[in-house]
Amino acid sequence: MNLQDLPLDILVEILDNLNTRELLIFACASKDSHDLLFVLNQIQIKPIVLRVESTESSVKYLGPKEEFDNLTLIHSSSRFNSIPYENSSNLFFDTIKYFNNAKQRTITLQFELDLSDDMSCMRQLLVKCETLAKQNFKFQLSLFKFLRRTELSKFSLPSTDLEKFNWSRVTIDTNCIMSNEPIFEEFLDFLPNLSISWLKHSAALSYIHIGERFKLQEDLNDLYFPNLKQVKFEICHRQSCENWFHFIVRHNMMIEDFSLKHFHDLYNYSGMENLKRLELVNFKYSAFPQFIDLITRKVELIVKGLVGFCYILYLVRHEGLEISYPKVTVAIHKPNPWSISHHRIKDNVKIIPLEKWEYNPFIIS
Amino acid sequence: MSEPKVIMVSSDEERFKVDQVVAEKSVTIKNMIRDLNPDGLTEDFEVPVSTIRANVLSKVLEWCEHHKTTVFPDEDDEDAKKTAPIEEWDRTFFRVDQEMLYEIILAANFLNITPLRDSGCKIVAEMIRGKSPEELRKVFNITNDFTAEEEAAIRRENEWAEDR
Repeated sequence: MNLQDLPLDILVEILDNLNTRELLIFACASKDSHDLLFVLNQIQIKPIVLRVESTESSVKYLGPKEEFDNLTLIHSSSRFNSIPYENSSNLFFDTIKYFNNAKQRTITLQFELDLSDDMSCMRQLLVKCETLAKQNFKFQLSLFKFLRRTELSKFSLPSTDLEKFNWSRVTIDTNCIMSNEPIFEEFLDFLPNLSISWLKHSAALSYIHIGERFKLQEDLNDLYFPNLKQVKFEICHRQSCENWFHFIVRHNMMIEDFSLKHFHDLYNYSGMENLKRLELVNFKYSAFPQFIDLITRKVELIVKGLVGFCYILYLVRHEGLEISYPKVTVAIHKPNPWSISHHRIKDNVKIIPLEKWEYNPFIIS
Repeated sequence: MSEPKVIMVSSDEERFKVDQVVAEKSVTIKNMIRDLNPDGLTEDFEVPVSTIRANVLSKVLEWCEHHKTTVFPDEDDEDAKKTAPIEEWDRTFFRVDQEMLYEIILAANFLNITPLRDSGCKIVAEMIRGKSPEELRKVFNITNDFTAEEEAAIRRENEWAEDR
């Protein structure tokens, strides 16, 4: 008996102990092991973003359809594809069709769209998917960052196609800037053209992550997401921030998890009575009063960076702040036992390495 | 009077008489005992294990005997399961040829002895870890069926995950 004679569930268990890099090396051993990674990726045991490109045999290798529940199929961005986008979208559609006949299964289709991708192929793929769409399909979309300046001109969101779907999870990562390129101004000029109005029918939307520098100017009055529970919104543009906050407050939405970059830009955060968890990035001194207020409102706080750490330290040591509830987590670079004990941070303030906190766009919770 | 025993009969008809507590490390056997003996065992209970050969069953029962009092992390606690180190005794236990290692894992899977199956899987994962594709082929007897071009393409496509 060889390793690859083991049943799929055991192989999955074995490979689940390996990290992405180790898995990818394993994938280089043979066609079977490469195909196995494809399967792992599809059933999302390891959401490593390989490609939907593979051979016809990979689809056959997937075995009985009934083995898989809550299947997630990821169509990767061309960033990870060495084959033409059109080929990968055709294969992706074949894969969907392969699973489509099985009953009582939730199939999540996740589309990763790099702004350098072929938009016409993407549009065709969406139109084809729509023909198959049924109730147990969930649609998720990830829009990735710009890679090169030339891509700005090529990009246009296929919004009329996008709005046909009830998106359940949307990530718009516009954090693009390469510091040595004079692209930033160009980018800011372009951003107002980005709209999220195509989300208007997405009642299933439960998670949205909008990346840094997204400049939202549109009126959000027409939008309402009854299932929205988690918002990760990295902003530096005050107008966008306020638009979103007012929108959330107006609808008294049950946001359980809110992540904000540049918290100090917030002028009006009141009204978010249902907020249970807040992640603060680039914590600034100007935000301290709000910080105290949030603690007294029993909001779970996650604070990234040394400024937040020092401020909590100050509160604990000099102001006698008792943090029995909520939980406060501080993410800083290379925390060590000495710094923690020296500063006598209370037990209920958890210190974690910054690396563990970082957002990974490829991991789907 | 001595406690009733559980007699496990392997596919090649060898009989293994063990304490109930040892046999019940297998959730499958435990459920079978409970279902068929709702008032508890009053006499020896025979269980045919027709998919497992005697040499493998003997090893599995050796593990069950050693761990009969061990408390394992909650099965649903994936993090605890993943981070739990492999015990030194288990490492020694798994010093067997690959064929036997896989058979033990399969037997543990069939008998629903999750900690044994998980430890076995971790041992195999450790055998994979840190090896180049060439070394993996040698260790696991994998035939390289890629053409040179295909292999180069796969390496290229995976570059994004490499340390830089």
